[in-house]
Amino acid sequence: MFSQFRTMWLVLKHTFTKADTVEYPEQKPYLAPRYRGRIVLTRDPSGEERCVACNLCAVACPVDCIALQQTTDPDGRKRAEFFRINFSRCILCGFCEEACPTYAIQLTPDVELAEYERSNLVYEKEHLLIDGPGKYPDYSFYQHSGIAIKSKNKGEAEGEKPPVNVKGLMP
Amino acid sequence: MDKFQPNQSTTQSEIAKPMEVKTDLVTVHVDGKAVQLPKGENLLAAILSKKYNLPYFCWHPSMGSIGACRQCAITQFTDETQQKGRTIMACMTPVVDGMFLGLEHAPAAEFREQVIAAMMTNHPHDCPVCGEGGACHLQDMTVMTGHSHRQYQGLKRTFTNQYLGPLVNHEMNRCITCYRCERFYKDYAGGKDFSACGSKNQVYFGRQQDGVLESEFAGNLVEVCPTGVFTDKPFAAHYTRKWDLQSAPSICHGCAVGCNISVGERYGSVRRVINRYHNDINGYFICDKGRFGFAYVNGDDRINKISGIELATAFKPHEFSIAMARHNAKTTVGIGSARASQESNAALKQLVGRENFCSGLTELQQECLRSCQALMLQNRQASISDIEQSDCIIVLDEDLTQTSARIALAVRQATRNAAFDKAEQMGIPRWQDDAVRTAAQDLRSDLYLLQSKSCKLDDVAAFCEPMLPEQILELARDISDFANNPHPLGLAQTRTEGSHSESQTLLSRIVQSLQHAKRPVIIAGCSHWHLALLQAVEKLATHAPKNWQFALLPDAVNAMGLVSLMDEHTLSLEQLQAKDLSSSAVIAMENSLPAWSSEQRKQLAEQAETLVVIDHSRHQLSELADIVLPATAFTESDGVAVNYQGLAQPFFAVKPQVKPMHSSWQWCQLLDDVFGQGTLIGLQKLSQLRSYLTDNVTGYPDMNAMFAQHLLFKSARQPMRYSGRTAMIANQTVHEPKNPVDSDSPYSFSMEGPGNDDGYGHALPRSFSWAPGWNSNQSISKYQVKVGGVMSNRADMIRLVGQSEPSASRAQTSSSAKRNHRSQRILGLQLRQLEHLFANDEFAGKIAEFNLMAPPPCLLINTDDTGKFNQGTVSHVRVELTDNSSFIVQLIPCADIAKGVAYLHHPRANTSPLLDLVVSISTVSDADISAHQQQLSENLEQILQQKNRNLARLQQTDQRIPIQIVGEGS
Amino acid sequence: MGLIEPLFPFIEMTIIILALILIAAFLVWVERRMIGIWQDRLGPNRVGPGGVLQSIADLLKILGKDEFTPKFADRFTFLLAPFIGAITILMSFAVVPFSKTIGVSDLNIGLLFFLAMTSLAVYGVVLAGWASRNKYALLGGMRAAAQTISYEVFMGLSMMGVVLLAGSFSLRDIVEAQQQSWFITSQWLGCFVFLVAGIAESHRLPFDLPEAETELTAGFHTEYSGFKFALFFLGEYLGVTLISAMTVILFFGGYLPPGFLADTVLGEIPSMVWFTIKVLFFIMFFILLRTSLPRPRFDQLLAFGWKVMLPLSLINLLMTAILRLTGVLGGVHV
Repeated sequence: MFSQFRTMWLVLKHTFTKADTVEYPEQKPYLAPRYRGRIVLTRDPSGEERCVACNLCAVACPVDCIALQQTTDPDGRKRAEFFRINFSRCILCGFCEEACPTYAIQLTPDVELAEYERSNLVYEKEHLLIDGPGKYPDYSFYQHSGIAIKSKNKGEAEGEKPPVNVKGLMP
Repeated sequence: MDKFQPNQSTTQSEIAKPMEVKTDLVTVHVDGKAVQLPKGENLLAAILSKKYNLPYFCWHPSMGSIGACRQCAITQFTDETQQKGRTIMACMTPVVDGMFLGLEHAPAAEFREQVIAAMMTNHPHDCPVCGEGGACHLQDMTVMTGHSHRQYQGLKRTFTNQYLGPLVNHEMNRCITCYRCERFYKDYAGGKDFSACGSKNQVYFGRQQDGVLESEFAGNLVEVCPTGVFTDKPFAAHYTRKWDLQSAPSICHGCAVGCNISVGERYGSVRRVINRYHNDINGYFICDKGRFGFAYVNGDDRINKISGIELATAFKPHEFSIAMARHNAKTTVGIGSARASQESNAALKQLVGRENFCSGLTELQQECLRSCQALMLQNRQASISDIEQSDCIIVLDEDLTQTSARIALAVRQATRNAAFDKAEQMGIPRWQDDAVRTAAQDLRSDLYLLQSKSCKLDDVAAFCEPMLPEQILELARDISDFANNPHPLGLAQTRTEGSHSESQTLLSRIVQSLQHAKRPVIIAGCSHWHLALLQAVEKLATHAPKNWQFALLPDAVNAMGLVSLMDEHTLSLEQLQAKDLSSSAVIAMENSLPAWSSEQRKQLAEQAETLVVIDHSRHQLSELADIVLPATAFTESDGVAVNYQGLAQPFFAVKPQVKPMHSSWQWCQLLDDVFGQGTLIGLQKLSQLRSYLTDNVTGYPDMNAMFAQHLLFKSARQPMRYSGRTAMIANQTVHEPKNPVDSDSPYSFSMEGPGNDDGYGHALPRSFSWAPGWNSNQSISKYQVKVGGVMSNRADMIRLVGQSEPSASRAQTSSSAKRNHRSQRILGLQLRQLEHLFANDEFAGKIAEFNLMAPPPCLLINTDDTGKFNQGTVSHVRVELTDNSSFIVQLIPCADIAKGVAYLHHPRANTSPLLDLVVSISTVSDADISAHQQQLSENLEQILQQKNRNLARLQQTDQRIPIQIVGEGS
Repeated sequence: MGLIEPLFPFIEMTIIILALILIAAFLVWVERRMIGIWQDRLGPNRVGPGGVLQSIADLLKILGKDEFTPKFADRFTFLLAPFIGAITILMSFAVVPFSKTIGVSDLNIGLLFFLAMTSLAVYGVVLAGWASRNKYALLGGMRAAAQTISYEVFMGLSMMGVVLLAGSFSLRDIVEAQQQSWFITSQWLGCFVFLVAGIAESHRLPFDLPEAETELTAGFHTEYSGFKFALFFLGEYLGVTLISAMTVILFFGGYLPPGFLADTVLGEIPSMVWFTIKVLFFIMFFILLRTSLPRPRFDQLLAFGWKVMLPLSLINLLMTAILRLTGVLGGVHV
């Protein structure tokens, strides 16, 4: 019985403590750069789309809110023909970012995703794509991958030997 | 003969039973647990059969072991204390009684991890852009061994790739040198243009130079390769991951073999076809026509709306009936089709009545198919595994590689049986692939190719000299005589005219082989509609010894089903032509009447009061039709197809229908209250229709038991990680509709239901193959009773067998059929159609890749016959037809064509019989030749453009998925 | 004038009812703000100055909701229940003397009327639970019945001490009897028992087991929405006010100013204000209880009632009677 009264007393004392509430939106909270908010698609240092449409974000997504289709450009790059995120379903869990092998998909500290029409929360690629590289400014997937693209031939990626001369006689 | 009893149903396991060799089981201790393994079997296969996980690369259940990859290392302990032991390669070790093995033993596990680590030193960082990702055996094995970190800091070796044609993509950097590709392509499928070169770290698998892979089985490299060196090129152009494919088990509609396939769909378009294992039919491999020949279902030519009647946009059955009622006619004639499902054909026959049912075949074709059916009903048609086990094969006038390619692959394997026998005598186990080949050298089982033109099996044939079709027929009859009176000397006495001494020696060779053979198989086919030959084989079968087996191959997927629906009233095309159709409605169902010329088709359209065409793709007949009703292709409909053996196999829709498209049987049902007797009204569900057809249509097999069993289950079409469900239609609507309900099949259009695990062991074919830790198609071993054996969940099928009764109708029509059969001769040359896997098929012409691989328009003749064309100096000739049209073909002299025979190929043959129309062959001027070549290169350009257009259109539709595909209603 | 005069009681009643309803609505906001403050939050502060209009907004929202009646419900009873709940509580206020002059009725059995009305109020809850035909609702209703029957007993008993001292069942008489000293001085045990019982009667935390959302979704009003739900809501907050008012009347001198202040300037403050201040204090106490105490188990609740509160209230009554008879405690002689 005493503990009950003690509890009441302790609670009552809080009448005189300051509220922790942050009065958003007048007061903006600090969101760290790695905060998990609105999703963007970034570009590599050469300004090309980083996304190679590998579908790993889509498969990692627990609410299945990412749909995309791969296509191959004439220069050999894989690209998303369309890339759609249904933010009305997205739970901003960041699994897509973790799954992304090319650092293309990144979550930003922008959490202000409110619309009167749910359909306005469906973001297509043009809405998602930003101009910069985001959090990993130097990474370029094709410099690590073994496939050839127009600006990078076989054996020209980082850590690669020049192509083997198959018809050479040396052992 | 139409009164056969189709009710003798057998499951696959029962069919397979006699083939299974009884082996002694011995006790082997695996990780301290006693298991029973077959003695002498290779340890890897035996362990995998017990559902243990053991990584491997180079071993393949169909190709045996060579011990190249060192991946399946396990520890063999010296005794039961399991302390001391040595590392062995499971795939190279036979099972011995009382072995103590350690799969999890640390040194072996570490060894396996290090082997992967070594393979990974040069493996590129490609998974995100690799077509194999998500279904990659290398990924699976890497995870299985626990290798997670790359320690090697050096540079990666790289290769340049080769262009291997429009079907297979090459990416050599990814190679882990398991040699499976070469062993499949060269050793198994007999390809000549692909090999390994280089040494140690620089081994390269490819062709001598860039170029199209010549083998008809090159597509299997995609599945055989454990990683992404060989990937499916058309699939890559419009790619999606395996986990995103909605799949359904299906039957290949390319020929009458009935290979089992799994079809994958995404965003409303069919993406790819892969092999679906069936121990008795296709095993682990299908031909490229089966793998890539589905593309027409995504084509420009699909019919997707009703034309000829006015209807509101939303399809309503009663409005349709009202609109159709205006076209009612006194009688209705229905034309069935050998490419339509058994349900559709039976429903059409029920709709129009047996007197008005036309088979859509000429009398000649009907008779040829009846010969095939006769053997089928006697249960003499050999399965592919029967053929593979045969020790003497005679192929009569059929280029198997080009018509029923999977059979050709089986024939090639059969020629190795002599080698296996020899190896067995020497104590070499069958699975020791390299040792068996070394021991055998050039020793092969007898294969006699009696043909007029060389074919791709020549390299393994004991005899393959080209001869005239008449000679082949004569030989067939002689063999038949021999079978009737099996005494080689007696035979020699009966035919001593001497003039045929060469054929005499051949005959005695064949006869001797047949006498010594334990399981001879005689194969012929319908590609040239050589009725006399087929009848000779049929006659031969009647008095051949019981161990002789046959394979008479029809031309179309459900030809055997169609022929079983034919009775004495069934009209042939000739009878249809003779019939007065002025007050008749004609319903042509999934049949463009390729056996007719365009004149004959026009005539039909004019004569018929109303011509209704039900089909999925546009063709000349659908252009002529008064009313066109859009049918679903095999990828969107359920049904049953009967293969050459008489196996009725079900196939299932991979995606829902988009109205107003309906399955042909649904159209028959919808048309019934206007054109029919109203018997089909109310049978909206396939199960209702099936039980009705079983009871009421002779020739429709009784499959109630099988389908009743299916109804007990609802299995998933989508894998557990099917992605994007809440986004794929979000651009059209953010409301997520309920998944479409499939009341016709035991599969759901969702990821719900068993099928992803083996917990149920139910009687359904698997829509896709996946097991925990096994994302690639290699996971199939988890669902086999033993590796390379029957599936543990028996995929049911019904075998149509019974006693054939010689029917009067057959005797009557055969005479007129003979009259019909004339061989076309021009300039003293017997004209024949050039068979080609990627041509001569109405749908092959709709597939860009196939058009690129089809031969150019040509006339093949013997080198000695060139003299008939202007002293042999011409390179092109003009072929003139009865309808005053003409075309130019290239004249190609070859040494290995029988003298006096000419093979003609032209794309026009895809839709019409060309040979009957040829009037003359004449020389052409140089200007015409250059115009012709110009035309060809323009055509090529057009094909490429068409390919790009098609891709662009599919990418458009990806973003406008019909709601019916993903949701019910609306 | 003569025509209007008979209408005065009706006007008074109307004003009182409207005022009560407004207070109940206002209380919702007060409660949320107070809980916010005690939990270091702000509470609703957006609608109107400081958020005072929050309840109006909530009311508009709740009235805008779909009047949903489940198909399986007993329609008439389902509709009736919330009205019983709200009306009985409102009826109780008829006997409450708000000030020296204000009060609907000065029944000589006011206290009994109050007891009768609070017992009737449980019908609202029980019928709601039964008519919903929902297992949660039914369980909530059953709990409410058991809880009310148990706590009713010693609620009545706890007040008898006051009755003994005041010598009357009329609430106005009871208030007037406290001119010298408030009954809390002698009836502190009775006050404690009454408060606890009052909380249980009004289904407030920590004794809100009939609507314990962790176990019963929303208890007896699981199936209610819109206006009908608003009535239950109204009933609950009116209940809080009623119990607070009764505590003040029975033990804290009602509308009377504290004795030591009676002769000062503060004694001149209208009695209505004193009453309001006192009631507000107890309402705050109710809110504090809600903020700080966890909910007991239902068996604990009943055991506490029968094994602790009943003996306590009996002892209180007995002692009061003894002391009254022996004259130690003075009182109004009848």
